[in-house]
Amino acid sequence: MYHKKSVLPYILIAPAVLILILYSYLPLPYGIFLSVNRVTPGTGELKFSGFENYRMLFVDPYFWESLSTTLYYALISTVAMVFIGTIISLILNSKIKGTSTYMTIMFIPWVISDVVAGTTWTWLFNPDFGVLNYIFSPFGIKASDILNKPKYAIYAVVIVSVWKMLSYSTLLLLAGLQNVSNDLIEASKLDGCSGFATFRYITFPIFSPTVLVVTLLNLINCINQSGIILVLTDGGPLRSTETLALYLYKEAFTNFHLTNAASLSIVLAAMNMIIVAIYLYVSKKNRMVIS
Amino acid sequence: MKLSRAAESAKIAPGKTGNRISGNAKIRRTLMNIGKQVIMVILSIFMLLPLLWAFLTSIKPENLIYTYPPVFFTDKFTLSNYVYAFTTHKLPRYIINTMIVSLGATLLGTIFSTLAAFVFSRYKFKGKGFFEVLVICPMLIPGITNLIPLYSVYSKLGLLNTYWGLILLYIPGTISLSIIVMKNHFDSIPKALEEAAMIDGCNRINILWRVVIPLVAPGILAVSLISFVNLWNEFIISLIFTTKSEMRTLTISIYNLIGFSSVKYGVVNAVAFTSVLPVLIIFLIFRKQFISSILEGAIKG
Repeated sequence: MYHKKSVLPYILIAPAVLILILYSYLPLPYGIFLSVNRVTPGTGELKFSGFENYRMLFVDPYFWESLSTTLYYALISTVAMVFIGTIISLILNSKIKGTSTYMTIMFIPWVISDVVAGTTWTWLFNPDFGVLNYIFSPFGIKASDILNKPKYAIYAVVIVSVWKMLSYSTLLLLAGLQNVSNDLIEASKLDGCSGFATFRYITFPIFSPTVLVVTLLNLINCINQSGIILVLTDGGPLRSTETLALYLYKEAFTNFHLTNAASLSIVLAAMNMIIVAIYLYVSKKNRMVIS
Repeated sequence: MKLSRAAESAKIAPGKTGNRISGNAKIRRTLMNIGKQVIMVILSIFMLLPLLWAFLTSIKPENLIYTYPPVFFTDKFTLSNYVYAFTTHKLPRYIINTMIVSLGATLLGTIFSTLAAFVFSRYKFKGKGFFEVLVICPMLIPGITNLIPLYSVYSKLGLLNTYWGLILLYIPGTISLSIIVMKNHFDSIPKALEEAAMIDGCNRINILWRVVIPLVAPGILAVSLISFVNLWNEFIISLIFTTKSEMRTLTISIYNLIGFSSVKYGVVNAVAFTSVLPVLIIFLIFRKQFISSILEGAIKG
């Protein structure tokens, strides 16, 4: 309605735009600049070094280890969240009693901080006094081993991540299911479709783009997850849970290898952008399907 | 096992009931509903029990915390862990720090995003599409990759350990979502109202302030609550950008407590529960606004 030439709109969006340019966009080129420089020992000055940081990164065995840990963790958690989330959303969509209460309960872990999630579960997994050891002792399982043995520790991180973030996936998947109009389902039943056929030919095709979007969102979240892992395992035992994001944090702020960490952050940013590009492509297609 | 049975009967039941409603189908449906409820109750216990256990630990005396098998209920509940947290651990200081930065960033972020969302909803101007993409994209790239360059700049400018430095770092993480949610709210208000106000001689700032803002107040409430909860819980940014103990926020103070070899779990859980309480109350009161805004943000983004 206001389409006169005016500077007012630019003034009103300026604060939001400026702060995003300063804090979300400019750090990227500056990060690239840092990643092609090295700190001169002693003086602390930056010196151009070309791709030396990247070369060092790609011959660093820790980098490849963290990369595979990241992908494994992201994949397992995402599959778990999408799978369980789909089942829960199908249940909630069948109009059972107490849907909103269950949703509220599921969201409680989501609104608490990563740190509290971490300390709560560390205490549950405590090897000496942990309540999980007690609960699982009749089954002959020492639950604290999940957290304290390098072979299993990543699954402890997965359990806590699913506990904390399952509600988000479930909410989105439920919204996807509600996209499927009841008229379509009624019509298919009148035509003699069985329940399974209705799901296979009506619900699933409309629902599947949502599943894809939720999968990608979860992948992004997991790849960048650092808080829960930092508190729960600190990357250990024996680096078995050290993801790229955590390795990046430690390189930069524990070892103070700022330029190395900068090259690492560019790699992580690139990974993110690939997934975001797929996400944008998919969600664009998705919208076209719906409308 | 229960799950697959419930799912199976979910598939069979509707087809049969289409022909005739037999007693058999009714029983099957009832069983299916019970199965679903059982799954949801188990899930709810999984979601709530860890936090309940943390709370129980926080109100137990030390000799009942370090026991095996664990003691669940006792008549010797105590507040000594909370007393320790509020005196020796200097919890009030951390609460004040967290309040300042999260409220400050919420206030500024909400103002910035409301203004921007109003413009995107109501104005046509050159470069509108470009600016819309520019403000929404950061939501898709979480911040950790940006923190190294920002840390480098902050340490040069002496902005580490300052409230302002932290507030400015916090705003970008919240405004993209806020802009999306607020734009939806603005879009849902009929433009005729503003046109009427304009004919009555209101200028544009007045229309925004007196006509539009009161109508989108629920939206403003929702986005500021979500921002506040997210920032109250924020961890990595404040861990990196505060190094002095008197500037640390609540989450960092909890993290520091578990850094020692002999962790006082009673105190850890007392501080943790204190930090959870405000966001839990806010969430339980405003859960509808919360959940619908999260959904809007995810779908439109």
